[in-house]
Amino acid sequence: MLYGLPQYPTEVVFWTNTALTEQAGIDLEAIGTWEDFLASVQTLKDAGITPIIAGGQDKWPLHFYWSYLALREGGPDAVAKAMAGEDGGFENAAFIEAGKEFQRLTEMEPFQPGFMGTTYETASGMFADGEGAFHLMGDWDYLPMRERSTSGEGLPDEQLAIISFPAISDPVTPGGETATLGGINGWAVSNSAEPEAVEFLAFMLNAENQREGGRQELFIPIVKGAGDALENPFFAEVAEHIGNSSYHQIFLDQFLGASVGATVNDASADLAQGAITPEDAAAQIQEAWDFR
Amino acid sequence: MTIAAANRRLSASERPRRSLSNGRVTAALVLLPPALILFSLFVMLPLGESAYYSFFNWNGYGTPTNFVGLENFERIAGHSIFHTAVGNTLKIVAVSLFLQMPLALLLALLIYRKTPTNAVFRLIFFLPYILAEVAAGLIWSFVFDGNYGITASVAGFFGADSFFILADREWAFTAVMTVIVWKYFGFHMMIYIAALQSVPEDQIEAARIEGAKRLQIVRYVQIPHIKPAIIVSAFFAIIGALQVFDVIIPLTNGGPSNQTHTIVTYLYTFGLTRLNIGFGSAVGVILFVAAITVAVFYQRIFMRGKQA
Repeated sequence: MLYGLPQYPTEVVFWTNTALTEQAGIDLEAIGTWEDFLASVQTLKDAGITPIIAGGQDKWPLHFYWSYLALREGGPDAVAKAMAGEDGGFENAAFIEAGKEFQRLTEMEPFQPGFMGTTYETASGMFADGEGAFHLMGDWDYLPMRERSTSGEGLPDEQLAIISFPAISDPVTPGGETATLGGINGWAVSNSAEPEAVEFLAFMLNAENQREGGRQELFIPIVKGAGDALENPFFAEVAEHIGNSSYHQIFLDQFLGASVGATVNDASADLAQGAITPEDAAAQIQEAWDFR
Repeated sequence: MTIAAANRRLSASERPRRSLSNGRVTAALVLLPPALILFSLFVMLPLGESAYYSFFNWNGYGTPTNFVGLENFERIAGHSIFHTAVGNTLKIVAVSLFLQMPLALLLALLIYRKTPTNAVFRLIFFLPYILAEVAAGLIWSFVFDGNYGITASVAGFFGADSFFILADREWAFTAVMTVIVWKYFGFHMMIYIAALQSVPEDQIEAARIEGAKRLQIVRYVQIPHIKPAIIVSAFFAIIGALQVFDVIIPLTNGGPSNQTHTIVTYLYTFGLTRLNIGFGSAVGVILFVAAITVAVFYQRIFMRGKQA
């Protein structure tokens, strides 16, 4: 038997270069739905700005789009239901719609040229170099993206913003508007662990130490209410999203296991390049799930 | 042959004593076990094991219990990415045989004579082969990088839009094959140089006196002489093509969207990294059978003459 003790969550958000969105005349506050977002991608393209930076070679940065869209389309239970084989599993309409919405985006060619040859690290540095307006990535990229920029400084805080992944106006199953995608880092303890190990974890994860970890910007505390010590505005905002989240979905490429997860990544990359249809993508994932 | 003939001349009572006294049995008893044990432990046993695992759906942990018969093989046979991987491997074979080997032969003919200048060229042409595969792959990924790499600089110099060959589903594998040719032509060139240096000089001279032109000497004297070397180098090229792995991982990692896999990177990606050890074992069995088939037929057809 294993017991899991969470220490901190992470959330995938659109990191935004506000200098570029202002230049194109986009009001970030007004981006509430996927339609709004697609419209702003078009506005950026018209202004000659690369709308989105993506590390397509690693594939998992692209799976964030498909996962978020599936979460928005299918609601919080979509993945659990698919895993249980209900309502057509991963071939449920929600997952097919997610693929369709993703391809509506990718057909606009929103990414930097050669995005399928760009790794996550390079993409993160390019965003910090101001090469594109959005970057769908975890909150953890705040410091690394600076280090990967050409100057080593990246974008100043005033030029950065985060926005939640937009909502879908007419989802297949409602309820996924405020769900978040990300990770949860924590500790696993086996039932044969020494009592001291358990005591230590209980101490390390208590509200006071959670608050302290947040104050030192080590992580975003997972204990409700411990986020008030966060001084970094971006982390505070992420903590607020997670506090308001109806459901925190773990990255699908980890949640579904190595094999099915990698298939989700492959399918997302193929969708992004228009190499497969949303139906094919869903069928591939279902097939991998059947044979896991 | 000679041993059998010698033994036949000995009387029956003499035979065991002689063979013991000349140390053959002792030598076999002492020298055989290390090689035999290592070969059994690290070649034969894993071969047998992967053949066994290939019948299971198994993630590599614990004991395989989920017996699926031939389902792994069926899935491989129906997997479009496996078809691409086999096609890519065949492309590497073709490029190795029809582009890399002629190139290596041409260069070898130009620089096989022992002069100081030739030594320098030989070193330069052989350098890519010495480089570690992963390093070579990384270097070329910087060359092909359209954002910060040499491609970007060249495109910028001509005022053109940068291009991203490694991100292109159609062209990425051409880039990979370029790197493979660049990486391994020096090896084949060295085989030819060694062979060309052993071609008797007097035959070349005789041909020249008879009025043969440079190309005719190459065609009728030198190439026939180095035919065994060419056969061996072609064998290495084919077997090498079946095994290409470490150049591809840093270059494209099999992408974009799994268009640049070889059989081995396919095995690694879909077997090992996805913890489908049973599936990966099945790919391994297929690869092993392919390699053995190639080796046996190649020996039968091309290398038979040499034994006699």
